[in-house]
Amino acid sequence: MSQVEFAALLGVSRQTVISIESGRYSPSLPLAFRIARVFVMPVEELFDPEEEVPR
Amino acid sequence: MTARKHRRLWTPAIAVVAGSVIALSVGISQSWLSALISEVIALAWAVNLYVIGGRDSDIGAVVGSEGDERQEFVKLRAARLCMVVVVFAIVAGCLVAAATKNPIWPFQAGAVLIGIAYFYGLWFYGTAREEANAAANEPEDQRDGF
Repeated sequence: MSQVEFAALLGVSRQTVISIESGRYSPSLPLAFRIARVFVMPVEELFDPEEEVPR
Repeated sequence: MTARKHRRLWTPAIAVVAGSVIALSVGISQSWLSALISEVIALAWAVNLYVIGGRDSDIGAVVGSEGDERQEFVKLRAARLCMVVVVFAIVAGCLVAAATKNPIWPFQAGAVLIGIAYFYGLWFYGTAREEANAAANEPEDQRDGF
């Protein structure tokens, strides 16, 4: 799946997918759950709550 | 044309309205030729904003009023930076006006408006209203505790 397709599936921009992938942006809870639903994985396996996001 | 396409017109429309008001002010205070030049610049800027609004980028999404949650956050941070610059500009304008013996009240009025808007924003976007509602609906003996 391309970044463009994934972004369209989530209803966000391609730039936001890139930011999440590179760890520069932590998604909101609704978006995190949408991502988890796409990957059919628990949200805590996709995102580490201890991870610091650079500001 | 769908409502989605109309959203891309919002920012250029604001630029046209603001530019026209400035052009009118220039026309009244200086000359109508200067006003015409101001209006042309405002229209060119609005067209530029419309073009930018169609780009596949963060700036394009924000200018085109199509931003997602991260782009809205980026927009907020940019607006905060913009406000800091405006505050510095007001202070500098105040100093220059005072040094050149010109009235400083427009700068003072701007500073007061910014201050009021800031505290109104803290109140409006914060939880003050919900807390007040909760306190009003809560029996007096249950306040300040769980």
